[in-house]
Amino acid sequence: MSITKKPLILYTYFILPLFFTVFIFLYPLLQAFYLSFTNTDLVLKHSDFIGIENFIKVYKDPFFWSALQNTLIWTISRVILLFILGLSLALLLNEKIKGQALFRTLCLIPWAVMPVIAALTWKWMYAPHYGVISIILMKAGLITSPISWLAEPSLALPAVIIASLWRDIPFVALMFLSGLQSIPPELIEASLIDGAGILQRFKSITLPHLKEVIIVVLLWMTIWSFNGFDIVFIMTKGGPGNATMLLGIYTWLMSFEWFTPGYASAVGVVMTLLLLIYVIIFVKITKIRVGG
Amino acid sequence: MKKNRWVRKFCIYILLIMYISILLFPFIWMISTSLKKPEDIYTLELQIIPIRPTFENYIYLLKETPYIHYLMNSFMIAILVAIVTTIVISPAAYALSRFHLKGSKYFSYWLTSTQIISPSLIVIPVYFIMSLFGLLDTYLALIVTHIAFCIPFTTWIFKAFLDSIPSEIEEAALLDGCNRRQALFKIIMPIASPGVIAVLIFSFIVSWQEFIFAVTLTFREPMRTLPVGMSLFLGEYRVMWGWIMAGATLAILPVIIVFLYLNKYIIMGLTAGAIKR
Repeated sequence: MSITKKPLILYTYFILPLFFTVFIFLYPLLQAFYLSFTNTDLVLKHSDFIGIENFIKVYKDPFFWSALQNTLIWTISRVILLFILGLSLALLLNEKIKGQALFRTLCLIPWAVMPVIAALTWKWMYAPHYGVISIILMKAGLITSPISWLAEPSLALPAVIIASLWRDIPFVALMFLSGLQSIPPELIEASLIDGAGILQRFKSITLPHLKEVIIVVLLWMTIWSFNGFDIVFIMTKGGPGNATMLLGIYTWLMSFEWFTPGYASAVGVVMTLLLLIYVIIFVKITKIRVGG
Repeated sequence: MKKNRWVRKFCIYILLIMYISILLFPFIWMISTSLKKPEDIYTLELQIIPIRPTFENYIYLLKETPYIHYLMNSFMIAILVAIVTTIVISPAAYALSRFHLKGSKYFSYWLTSTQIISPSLIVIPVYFIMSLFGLLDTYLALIVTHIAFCIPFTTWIFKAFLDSIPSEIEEAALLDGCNRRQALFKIIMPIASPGVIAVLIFSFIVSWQEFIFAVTLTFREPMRTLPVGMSLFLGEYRVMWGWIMAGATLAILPVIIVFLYLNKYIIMGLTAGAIKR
């Protein structure tokens, strides 16, 4: 798609995008990196260079490790569930049935809901005493009294994970759907004539065709989940105790509620590095094209 | 054979209806709660359709809380972000699509890597930078931030979209005697308008829902955006779920309506990006 003349003016088109992204991403990233080597504390009002002391502190910090564990549980559960539920929904939506367009549109509605709204709605659904989830389970005879989902340390993390899935399943389903629609119908016809069963068709035709979409979806879902913040912050702010403390929330709280941006940056840097390592390994293994 | 197909279709319908019921239930419950009197909200009965529907939650929300103000803030910011983002990325996306430029690979890598950086990490220095420029608690801080967030994805979307328009069209126009600028405006823009709309919608939505930077960079009540304002309803107003759900419904009903109309463009925008990547 190349036209021969390449006027220099084309390069100026990139000035504005670069300006914005450098201003908000690159410079702050470098400054955060610098901050992580300081003991900047807004209450005690000092800001001295302390080398890798923060990182040693991170290593020894039990809250960091529990946040990391929570974040890993959160990320892995979400990716697996999104994959299964999203793919199955996409398969259903791919079927040529009456009302296909309507079903697709209806399914996308949760994705149009703001994360804040989703968090508030689910928080209401999980509410102690009158939350509708407790009510439904009681009516179904599965529990005898209302459960305060977000206040029980053992239930809170699964509860927020499920709430967060609500918005993302349609999005993932849409991604898979677009992949499914690129499968040439002749292939499916041919396999039907050959007498292939549903499962076999799935294995030998559908999955290979979806490979690229699956890899892209897996990568981005992992990245976004690992960096997850909004929904959990509003629903529980990391509580009860530290049951739902994700790394992103821990970083934010350290900086803006405990006023130690130096240490917070160290946590954030470790978090970003872990994710970066994962991405590099993932890209190397799957050999996908990154960008463009 | 025919019976099998019929059974299969039936199963698919049932499964779809189950899926959609579960997916839409929170949404329905939200609207339902917003239309209930407190006695019907705080009860152990399961009222999906309110027995005694009322608009009192909405009236209270709009009269006694700064909700409208929050809405206006978010709206203004989102519109500006959408327009400016579109202007900023369109030329770059066009250049990426039509030309092989040296270094465009690195530009793409850079855009991708911005998505990996954790927002929680960079919000800290951005806070300090904005503070330095005296931009805390201003629209400008959020607008600039949101634009930066929208740039990577929208560049991809628009580029992918432009890729699907053959460059022969411009070549033909050039041969017919237009210069490049004329070709761009008179020919490409009309064809690319669905892509432009997709970018506008996407940037608007991203800015409209953005939370972490909004909650960090603004604090005074007049400057709050809708996500921030609503999250504070939990603390400031003794958890009155009726009002909160009313606010939630108001916040997303317009989006849903726009969504249902512009469904086509959104799906086009999303899927163009996914497949190309």
